[in-house]
Amino acid sequence: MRYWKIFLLNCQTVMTERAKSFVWFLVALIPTSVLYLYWRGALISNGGNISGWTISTISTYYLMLAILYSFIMAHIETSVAREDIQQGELTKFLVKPFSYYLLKFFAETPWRMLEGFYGIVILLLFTLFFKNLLVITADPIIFLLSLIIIILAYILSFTFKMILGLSAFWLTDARGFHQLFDAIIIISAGLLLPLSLLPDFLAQITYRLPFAYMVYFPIISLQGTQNLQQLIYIIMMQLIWISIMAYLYSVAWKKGVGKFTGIGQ
Amino acid sequence: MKRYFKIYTTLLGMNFQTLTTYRANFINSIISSILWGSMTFITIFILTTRTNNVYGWTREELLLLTAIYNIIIGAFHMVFSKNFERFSEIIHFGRLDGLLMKPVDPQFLMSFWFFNYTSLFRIIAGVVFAVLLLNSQPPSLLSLALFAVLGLVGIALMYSIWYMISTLIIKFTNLSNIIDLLYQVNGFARFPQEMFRQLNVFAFSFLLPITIVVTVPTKLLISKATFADFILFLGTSVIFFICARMFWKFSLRYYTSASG
Repeated sequence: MRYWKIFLLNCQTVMTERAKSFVWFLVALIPTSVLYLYWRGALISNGGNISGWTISTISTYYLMLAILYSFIMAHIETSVAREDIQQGELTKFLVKPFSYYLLKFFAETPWRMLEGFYGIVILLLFTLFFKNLLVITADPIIFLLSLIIIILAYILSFTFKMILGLSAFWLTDARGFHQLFDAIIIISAGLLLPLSLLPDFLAQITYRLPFAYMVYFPIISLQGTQNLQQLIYIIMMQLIWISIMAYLYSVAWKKGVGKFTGIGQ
Repeated sequence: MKRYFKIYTTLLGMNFQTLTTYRANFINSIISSILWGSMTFITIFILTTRTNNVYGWTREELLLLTAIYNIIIGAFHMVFSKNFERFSEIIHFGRLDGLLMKPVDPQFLMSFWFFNYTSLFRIIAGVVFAVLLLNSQPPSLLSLALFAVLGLVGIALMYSIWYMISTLIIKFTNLSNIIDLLYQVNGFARFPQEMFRQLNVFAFSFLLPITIVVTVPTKLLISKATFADFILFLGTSVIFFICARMFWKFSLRYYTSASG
């Protein structure tokens, strides 16, 4: 109940910053749109098909990417690293009878929900004007499983970003470290292009990393390109990665808090 | 003019002192600068693995465009970006009052206070790549001189676009993340201008200024630029520069000085 209250309070904060949230949504939408235009031109130059991807499947992919990236990809690491650890704000959380992880989770979720909402509005507008360009599964079971995959993807990305944030216990100024992972995520989560279009050796590596389960697999699941067995495999892999991340988080938290001085910089 | 030059020299010195004082931050910034510079090349390498020709641009030409992008954007980030990052803070916390009272043009102080030396590494990486890519067909000295002029004009155009949009913060003080949006908007300049012709006339005209910043100087180096490109480029830059100045002066009337 108390976490629900925290969630509602954060919803109020987010609603007062609607314009800011919309700008964040545009920040996600712009690079996606540019990449879509690039692939559209590449497909036209190559007879409308590259490795099984057509203009309609690539349109759906990038539109879904803009929406799901806004909804799934947490950006909590800066707040944890800079405000809480580097500037010493964590002290006030340590004395509160709440789990720091859950507190941050319910602070971040309203932002994701509002940005996801903007995405759905864009999706509806897009469906209205470009009906034939959108390919989403019509099978209710696959759709339901895709929704589970999306929720698990959010939990996975959030936990991973929390660990990234905790890296500030050791690095203090962790911006360089975070940017390194931003670059890795861009390539291996499918933000640049669908992973199946990567060079084969690189695609095989990315399928084995957790980042593909944050963005790429949720998108292709919604597109309906995966069968039931594959969807269950994706869910299993997400659960395994979430368990690994949760374990790493608890280790990092226990060791990190022991190092934390609370002085602030 | 001489006075402004002296002030800028002092500011450069102060920035260098900061750089040497916070060495960890300096190293961090170098890593970040090199990382994002490299990412632009990696992106093009990956994007061109399945197709070698996009919008009439070959892989090598796209890589050259990326190298020029790194040079122009690197120079822009070196001189201006950090100043735009503090734009919202200055306005939101009512600190613009102090700058308005100084006997120096406030736009100058808003634009040139910080200097990011680490972007120099990105420019160097861009230059090295451009030299390697142009090795087979080196441009003439005249082309290089013209390229330098167009590069500066491109930076001025980019500056004007950023300044106009950042000025909106005076009216909409909560939009502190508009600078993050501008960093993304810069990405439009990384791809050929022809790519945006697919959009409708309104969207294309809206994006045109940003899409020509890098494309026109690159076209010059590969002998693809036309006279119309130059006229469009120079005309747009002059108009945007004047508009940015006028919009800033106009917006200052709405500055309330109330701090957030």
